[in-house]
Amino acid sequence: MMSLSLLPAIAEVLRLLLMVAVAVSAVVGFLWLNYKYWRSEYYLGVMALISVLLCAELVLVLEASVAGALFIGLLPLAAGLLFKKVIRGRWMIPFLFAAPATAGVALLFLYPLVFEFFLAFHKLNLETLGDWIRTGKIEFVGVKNFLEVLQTGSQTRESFWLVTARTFAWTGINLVFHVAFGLVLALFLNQKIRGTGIYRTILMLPWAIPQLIAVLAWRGEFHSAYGYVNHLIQIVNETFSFTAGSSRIAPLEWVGFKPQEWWTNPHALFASICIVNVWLGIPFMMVVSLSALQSIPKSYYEAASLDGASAWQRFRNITLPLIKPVMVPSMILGMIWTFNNVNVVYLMTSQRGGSEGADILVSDLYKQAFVYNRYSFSAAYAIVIFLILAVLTAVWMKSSRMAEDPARR
Amino acid sequence: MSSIEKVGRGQSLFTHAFLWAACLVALFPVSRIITISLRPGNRLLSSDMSLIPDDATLASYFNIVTQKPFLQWLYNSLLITMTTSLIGVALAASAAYAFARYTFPGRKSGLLFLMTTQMIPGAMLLLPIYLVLTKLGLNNTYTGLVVAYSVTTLPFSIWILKGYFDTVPRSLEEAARIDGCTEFGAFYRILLPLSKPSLAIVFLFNFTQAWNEYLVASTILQDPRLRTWPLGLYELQGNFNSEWGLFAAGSVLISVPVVLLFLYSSKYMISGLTLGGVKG
Repeated sequence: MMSLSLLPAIAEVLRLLLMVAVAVSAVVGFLWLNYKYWRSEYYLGVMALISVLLCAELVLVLEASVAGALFIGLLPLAAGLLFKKVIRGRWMIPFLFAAPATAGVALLFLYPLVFEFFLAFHKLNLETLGDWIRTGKIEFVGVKNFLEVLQTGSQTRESFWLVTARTFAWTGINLVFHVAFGLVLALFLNQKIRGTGIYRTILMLPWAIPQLIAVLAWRGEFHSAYGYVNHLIQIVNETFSFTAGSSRIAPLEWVGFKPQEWWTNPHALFASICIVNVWLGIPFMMVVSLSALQSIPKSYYEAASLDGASAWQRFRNITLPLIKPVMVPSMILGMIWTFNNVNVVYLMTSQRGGSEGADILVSDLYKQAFVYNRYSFSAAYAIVIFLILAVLTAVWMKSSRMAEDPARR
Repeated sequence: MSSIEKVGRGQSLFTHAFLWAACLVALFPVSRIITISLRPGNRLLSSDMSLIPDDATLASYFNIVTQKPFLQWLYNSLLITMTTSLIGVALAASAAYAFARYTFPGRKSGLLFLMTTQMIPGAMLLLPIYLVLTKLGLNNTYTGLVVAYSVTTLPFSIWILKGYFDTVPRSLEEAARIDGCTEFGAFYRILLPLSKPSLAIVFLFNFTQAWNEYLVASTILQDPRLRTWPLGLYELQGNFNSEWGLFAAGSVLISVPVVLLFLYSSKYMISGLTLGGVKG
């Protein structure tokens, strides 16, 4: 039996919880004191004094830079002015409730974002990392990193435009298959037949299994010699092939349907990743479609049937328009998830024997940052990727809203 | 199309056939994992295709618990996941209350920001967080990983909980306030007990997110003793030749509770997701 180390971990977690509790009480307490005393005539004076003391401590004791010390040190004074002039004792309850999470989000989201912009214009890589940790100084390089991102690739990196094109193909393929299969399965499950509950449960499995396990299992099945996939292809080919005279004729092989080196051939690898991700993503769309379908009142269909509408007409004119309000947000969410899906691509490509050449933008970004340790370069890369995604989402949201409400056009 | 429609016999057969085929595809990797986990160690890499091998054995299950620090991985995962979920739910619930019940300056932009965070690639935030953690010396600790996980879970939890709170009638809290309850009391004694199911869902959601996470953990934890189970299983599968059976056995052991929990909670989880997503 391996020996377990249990206690140090518990201690660390307890310390962390305590830290969070202290931070929360500090934030809430600070706000509460402000709300209590903002009317006092000494209020601004005390806040100014705190600011001065904080600045002095930061510069003299903690040896921070003057600019940084001023920025942090003047926060109490700014808060004081805000309370005295703008807030004036209003909105106490919502602010107190929202403060801890806001502080957390600011620390964990806003600060990294700002820091990322900072990084993108500076030079930080494995060589300069040590200096930066010790002294906090890094070199300013302007937009050099951004130019490097957009330039053609190098040995360790494919061309940006190629990867972008592949990412769009990846997102499109996945979304189309997710929605098509998801909707068809939901339509079938929405019929009055026996066993829909069991079918539904089984069909949810790809979503329920931990993703890492599912992806690694699939990866094993794509092994060229021992995997089931090539074996299956072989069986199907044998079924459809026949011998004419002395030569064997396998029509499916002519169209490219034959065993592949899935792990090493980039095209086959990309195809295999798509297959795995389509498999993973169908249940979500199926469930969303099903819940949308079930919310449609049955009387609509009865009325349409009375008027002699065909099944296709009912689908086209009742089902589609009514599930659209649910489907469109889910599709946008699905698109963002697919576009940002590092996990599946990374797990499928990054192991022994796996070739690159099937990377999408985010997995390439991850590898540049954590395999090749190009920190600043990756920061610039990340900003470019985010801009692409933001534009994509904005365009889609706008167009779908217009389609929904023609009057607003 | 609708369930009211009478389904003809032929159509019903076709439906069953289609659903059967879909189920086979959904079950395929699962059945393979089970098969491989039952194989004896000397022929892990066989192209034998039977579902349960003739010489089935539970040796892999025994070996992964005794020869690998499997229990340590589970323990590490459990600890990190519980901490993340606890912090996430506590902070998210109070913030969601403010967003659902009060108007205040910054509410709209705050909600918009919460939406936007869903668009930010995880890999994008991981880098600055990793660098900051390195600088603070929190790299390679549980604390660092919990901090990194909270980044993704916190905004999403707030968003979902706000959606739930919107559906709870305000009048209950107002009644409590008239009876002399404080704002905090109304939140703590009225709204929270009423939203127990939704809190459980958010907790579960955070839990599964952190429980199944691999990439962030692999970046932040390097010490083998701190490994979570995804790191451990990945390692096993990386050594493809020798430990494929152990990987399969470990996968089955981990998947069974996760899948059961998921299937049990999926109904509530989905309604929670759609509620949070559709309501603005």
